[in-house]
Amino acid sequence: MSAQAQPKVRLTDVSKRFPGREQVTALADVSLDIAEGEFVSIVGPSGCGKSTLLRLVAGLYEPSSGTVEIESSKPDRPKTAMVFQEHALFPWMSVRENVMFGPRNRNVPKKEAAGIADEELTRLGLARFGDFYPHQLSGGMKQRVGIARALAQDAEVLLMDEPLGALDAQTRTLLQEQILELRQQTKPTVLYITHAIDEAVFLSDRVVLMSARPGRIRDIVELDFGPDRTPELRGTPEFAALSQDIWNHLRVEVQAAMAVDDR
Amino acid sequence: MIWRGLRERWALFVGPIAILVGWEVLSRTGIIRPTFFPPPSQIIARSVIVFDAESGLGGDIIATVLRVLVTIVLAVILGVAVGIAVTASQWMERGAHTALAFLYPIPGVLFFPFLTFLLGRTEMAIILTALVTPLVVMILYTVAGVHSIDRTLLEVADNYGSRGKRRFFGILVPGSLPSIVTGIRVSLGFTLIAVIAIEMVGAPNGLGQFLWSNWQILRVTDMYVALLIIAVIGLLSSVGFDAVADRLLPWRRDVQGAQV
Repeated sequence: MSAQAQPKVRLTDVSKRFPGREQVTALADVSLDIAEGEFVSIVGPSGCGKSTLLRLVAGLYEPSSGTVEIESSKPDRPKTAMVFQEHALFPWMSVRENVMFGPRNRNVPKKEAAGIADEELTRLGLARFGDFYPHQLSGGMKQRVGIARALAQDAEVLLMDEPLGALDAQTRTLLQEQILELRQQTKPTVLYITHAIDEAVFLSDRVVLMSARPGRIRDIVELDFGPDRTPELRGTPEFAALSQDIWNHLRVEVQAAMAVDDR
Repeated sequence: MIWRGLRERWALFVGPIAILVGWEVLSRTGIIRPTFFPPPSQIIARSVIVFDAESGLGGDIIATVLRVLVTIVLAVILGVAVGIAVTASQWMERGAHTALAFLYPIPGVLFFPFLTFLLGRTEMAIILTALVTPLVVMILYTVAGVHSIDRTLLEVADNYGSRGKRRFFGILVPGSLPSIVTGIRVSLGFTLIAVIAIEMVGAPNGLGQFLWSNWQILRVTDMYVALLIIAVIGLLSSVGFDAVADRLLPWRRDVQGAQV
């Protein structure tokens, strides 16, 4: 992508094996650079190791071999902040406390952390809901709280693990547009996992296609819609053609993954 | 409010009342010996000795209730702390599990002689003996509670840098609270049983001691009065705790309410 000397995230020959009765190789020899401010999506059949890859970047797993490097811009800045698939909010905390969670763990004073939380909640249109508890919110609202929680971390890299996967189609479309807006406002570096191809094309600078297990990078598609795209992009012939093109690449892998499942 | 509650719950009282009426009739007609089974009406009438300073029963009630309270508070604090600490490593957890499986089936009161060797016939020995079973219960329920926390929530805690004290009080305790609350409910019963049993064999006062000494001199009605009071304390503690427990888990109550 860009010819910068130092990428924000650099994965070098990363492999991940899970030991067990039958050792499973989830990822094999994945190398990927992500530039500052870049939005990279990963698509692939289920079980291809997308989530494993994200957890390796998040530091939740250690790679079996290879290295994961994330460049730090400030010493105290968290490296990653993750948005989880099923919102994963703490049910015993109010919405505001959930969003304050990261800053409080870094010993940011309570008042200041609450200020950060309210700012992020306002950004996501949830200003009124700080004192609510998660179970009082709809699915889409919960997921926006999850996103606000990640933004409150102001981390080097924003990791999103199928954040819209559990939502209905309309809420999903709306939230895609909200994520696009966020992207345009704050220009974060994002690694985004989805199985919706149109979502990946709509949001990303690059789409990484992964193969069936063991997950390898099969292809990387560069998109030149630029960051200033609008929701109307979805209606254009280029959008449709690219989505179709990516699906053509992916079909083989999805079929392969299904064959493994059937075995 | 109360009337509605009674109307819905009248069925709960049918069983006990039937037993008491049967007992009353059998005892009054002499079919069972009133010497050993005095009619319930007589026992209830005799209950006024609670307010008679000479009987000392009031002081015995206070002694027993205090012992139960101190024991349960210690069991909860220590049990939750140990239970969560133990889950920090798989090996510790396995080791603890073996030790607890060994302790759990031993009736707690059997530790009393052993503890009196160390501490003499002291209040400390009584409390520590009573503590054994509820402590084991609290540890087991806390460990189960930690395991019941959604794995993804722990990943969130890891990714968002939650460590040490904050992780303990912010994630692990509230996350295992539903199980801890159940553990407390179970422990309350065990604590009362243990305290009464120890009082019977080795305390200078308390309801257990009152019951035992009246049995020895065959003041049977007074013995039954103590039994009745023990049952009432057991009932009140479990009803009282249920009322508090709902408040401990506000997010749970609302979720359940929403499903109805």
